[in-house]
Amino acid sequence: MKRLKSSLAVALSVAAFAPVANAKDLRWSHSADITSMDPNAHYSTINGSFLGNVYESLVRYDKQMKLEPALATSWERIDENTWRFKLREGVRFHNGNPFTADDVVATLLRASEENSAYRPATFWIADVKKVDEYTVDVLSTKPHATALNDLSGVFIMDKEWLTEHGALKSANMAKGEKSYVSDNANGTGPFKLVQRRPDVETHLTVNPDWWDKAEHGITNVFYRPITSGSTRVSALLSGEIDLITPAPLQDEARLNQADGIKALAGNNTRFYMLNFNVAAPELKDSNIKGKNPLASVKVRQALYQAIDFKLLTSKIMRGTSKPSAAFVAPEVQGYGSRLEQPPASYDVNAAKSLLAEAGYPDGFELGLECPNEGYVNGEQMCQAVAAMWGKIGVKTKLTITPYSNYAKRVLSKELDVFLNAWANTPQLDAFSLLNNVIRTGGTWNPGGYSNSKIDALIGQVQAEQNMERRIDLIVDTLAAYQQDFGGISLFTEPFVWGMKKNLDIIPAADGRVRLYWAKLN
Amino acid sequence: MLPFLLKRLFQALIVMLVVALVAFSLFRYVGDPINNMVGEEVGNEYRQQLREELGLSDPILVQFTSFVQRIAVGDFGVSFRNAVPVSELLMERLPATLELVMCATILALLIGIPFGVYSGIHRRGLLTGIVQVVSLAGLSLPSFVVGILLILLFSVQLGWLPSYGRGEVVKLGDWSTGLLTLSGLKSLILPSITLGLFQMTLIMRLVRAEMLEVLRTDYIKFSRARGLSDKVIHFKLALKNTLIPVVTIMGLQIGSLIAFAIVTETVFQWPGMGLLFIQAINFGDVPVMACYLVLISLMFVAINLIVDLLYYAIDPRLDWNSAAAGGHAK
Repeated sequence: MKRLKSSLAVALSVAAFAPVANAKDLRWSHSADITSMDPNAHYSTINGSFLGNVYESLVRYDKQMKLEPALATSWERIDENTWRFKLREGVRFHNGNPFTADDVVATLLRASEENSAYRPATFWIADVKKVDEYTVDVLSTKPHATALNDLSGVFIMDKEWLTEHGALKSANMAKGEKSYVSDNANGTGPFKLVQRRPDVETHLTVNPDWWDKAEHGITNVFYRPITSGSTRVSALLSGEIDLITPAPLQDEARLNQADGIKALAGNNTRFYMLNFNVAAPELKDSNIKGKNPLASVKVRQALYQAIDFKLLTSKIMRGTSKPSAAFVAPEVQGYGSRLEQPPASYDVNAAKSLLAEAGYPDGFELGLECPNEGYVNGEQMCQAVAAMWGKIGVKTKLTITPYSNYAKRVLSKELDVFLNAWANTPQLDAFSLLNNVIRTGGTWNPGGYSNSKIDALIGQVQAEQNMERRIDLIVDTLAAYQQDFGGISLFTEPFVWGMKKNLDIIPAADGRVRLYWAKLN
Repeated sequence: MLPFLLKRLFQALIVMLVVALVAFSLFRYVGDPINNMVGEEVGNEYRQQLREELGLSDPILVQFTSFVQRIAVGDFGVSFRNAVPVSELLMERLPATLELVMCATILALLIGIPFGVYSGIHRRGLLTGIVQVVSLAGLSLPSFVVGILLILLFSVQLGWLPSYGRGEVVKLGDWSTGLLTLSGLKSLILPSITLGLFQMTLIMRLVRAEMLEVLRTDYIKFSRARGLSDKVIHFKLALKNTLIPVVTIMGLQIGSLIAFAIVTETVFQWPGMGLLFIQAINFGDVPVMACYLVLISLMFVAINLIVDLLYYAIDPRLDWNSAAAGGHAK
C-alpha cells in the first residue's frame, strides 16, 4: 500500500511536471529505433546518423561533403602506412574527462578488433600508437588511400569511462552481447544522453561545453521512432513531432500545403541498380536450358536498351530522381561526369535485333526479384521494368518478397536478376562499390560477375596513393563496367524530410541528420 | 473438477508443442537475420561463422529440440535485434498490450451489451436502425482504416488526442500503467476504440440476436403473465441466458486481441507485444518470434479454460463431466 501511495505521488508529480514541449525542444521521429548507443555495436546508417550528434570522429564532413577537421586539427601521411593526427586540445567528454591521445588509441583498437561489428570500416588498421598527449599515429596493414574517409565514421570514446564500465572490448550485438555502453553514452558531441527507453524515446540535451560553435538553438532532443509512415506524418501535422525522417514521398505536396509545416526533398548517395546472375550455368527462372542468356553481353545490352529510364524517373519516381548511368552519386569520390554518358540509348528495335543476334530471336523467360520495402517505390519500378522487358520478348516473372527474405535469396545466388542499392557510406568513396559488388568474389556480387580487366583496375585503385590518379582509375573502372553492361545503373534514391517551418536543417547526401547543422528559430 | 483440469492441462501441453514445431518450421522462410545484423561490407566467411555460432545452420529438428530444452528451464534466448533477453523484452511490453486489450474489451462490453439489449427489446425504431448501421460499419472496416481515420479527425483536425505512443507511464513494480496520468489516459482512447470497435459491434449484434430468440421463449411469456416488471424480465432473466454465447466469443476474441493487436499497435506506435512481433518478423528475429508464438498459444489455452469454467458459474445446470460444453442452456 505504501508503495502504491508513493507511486501515486510520483504519478501526480510526473503529470504535473510532464515535459511540455517548449520552443527550444526538438521532437524527432524516424522510421526505426537505433539499435544501440554503442557506436561500434552495429554498422548501420541510422545508428551512425543519431550517434553522430552525441559522439564525434577525428574528421567529419562539411556542408559540401568534403572532409574537415573535427577532433583532429591536422594530419599528415608520414609514410605510406602511417597517418599522423594532431588532436584538438581543450576538448572534454560529457562526463568532464579530457580528450587525449589515449582515448583515440583505445577507441580505434576497440573498433578494429576481431569481434567488432565495425571491422568493415577498420579492417585496414594494423596498430594505433600514442606519440604524445595530443598526437596519434595510425598504422595500416597496407597503404590505404581512404583512411580518412573510413575514420570519419569511427566515433571516439573515453578510455577511462570504458575501463570503468568494463567495456574496453567491444560487444558484438549480432552475438547477443551487450555492455554498459549499449544504453549509456559519453561522447564529445553537441548533445549528451539523458535517458534511453528503447523503442519508445531517447532523450538528449545540449552539451554547453562543446568545443565548436553551437548555432542550432536546440535545448532538448526527443527521438521517438514511429514505424508507420502515415502515423508519422499525422504526428507532424498534429504538432506532436517537429521533424520526421523520412516522410513518404507521396506526402511531400501535402506537407508543404499544411500550416506551419514544410517538406525538404533531396537525393542521397544510395544508388539503385539491377544486377545479373552471369555465372550460373543455367538460370533458375528461365526456359532456356543448358546455357545462361545473361552471360552474353549482347543480351545484357538488349535488356538495357529496352528500359525507358526517363519514363521510370518521371512517372514511377514522380520526378524526384534523374536517370544516371554512373552507378554512384555525384557526392561519392570516384564519380566522374563522363560516366553520365549512357552506354546505349533507349531503343526497343535495337534491343530486339541484339537478342536475335545473340541467338534468342523469340526472346526467353527471365526472373526478376525485388523487395517490397527498403526501396523507395522499388516494387512499382520493378513492375515497370518487367513490363518493358516483356515488350522485347523477354517474359519476366516478377517476384516481390519481404526484405529479410529477399536479402537471403540474393546472397544465396538463386536469383536471375535483382534490384540492388549501394550507398558507399560512410566513406563516400566508390571503392566500396567496386570491392563488394563488382569485383570477382565480392560479398554482394552473388551473380558472379567476373571481368579480369576490371579486377586488375580495381587492384590498381587499391594500391594507388595519389588521390587524383585514384579517382581517375575508379572512373575508368566504372566506365568499363558500364560498357560491359555488368549491371544496369538506375538512379539515386530520393528522400523527403518533413518538419516545422521554424526548423532549418540541411539534408545531407549521406542521409545523416546532423542536428548541429540545424537551426531552430 | 480435478480430472477435468488435469485433462485440459495435458491437452494444453500438446497444443503448445505443436504450435512451437509449426512455428519453427515456418521460420526458414522469414529470411536470414544475419543480413540485418551485420553491415553490407561484411565478408561471407564472417557471416557463415556468425551463422554457426548462433546455431542457425543446424537442421530444423536440432534447432527445435534445443529450443524446447531451453524453454523448459525458462531460458528464452536473446533477441537478435536488441541483444536483450527475450523474456525481459516480452515482460516489458506485456503491460502495454494487456492494458490496451483490457480497455478495448471493457469499452466493447459497456457499449455493446446495453445497445444489444436495447435493439433486441425494441426491434424496430430509429435508434435500433442507427445501431444496426453503425455495427455493420464497425464489422466491415479494417482496423487500420478506423485507426487512421480516428487519428486524422481527433489528432490532426481537432488536436484533442495524441496520435501515437502511450504518453507518460507510471511504473508500479514490474508493471507500467498509463491509467494514472492524464496523457496516458488520453493516449488510451483512440487505440482502445480502434481495437474494440470490432468486438463492440460483434457483441451488439450477438446480444440482439440472442435477446430476440430468448424473448420468444415460453418462460418469458409465463413471467409476463405472472406480472413481473419489464426490467426484471429483460435484465434478470433474459440477459443471463444471452450471456453464454457472448462469453464464448469474448474468450476467443480476447485471445486474438492480445495476440494480434499488431495492426492497432503499429498504427498508434503502441509499445506493446504486437509491435514487437512485427518488428521481429521484419528483422528475422527468430528467438522473439518463437517465444512470442509459444506465449500466445499458452494464453489462448488459458483463456479458453477460464471461459469453460465460467460456463459453470453462469449456468448451474451444467455438469462437470460434459466438459467443453458451450452453447445454449434451454
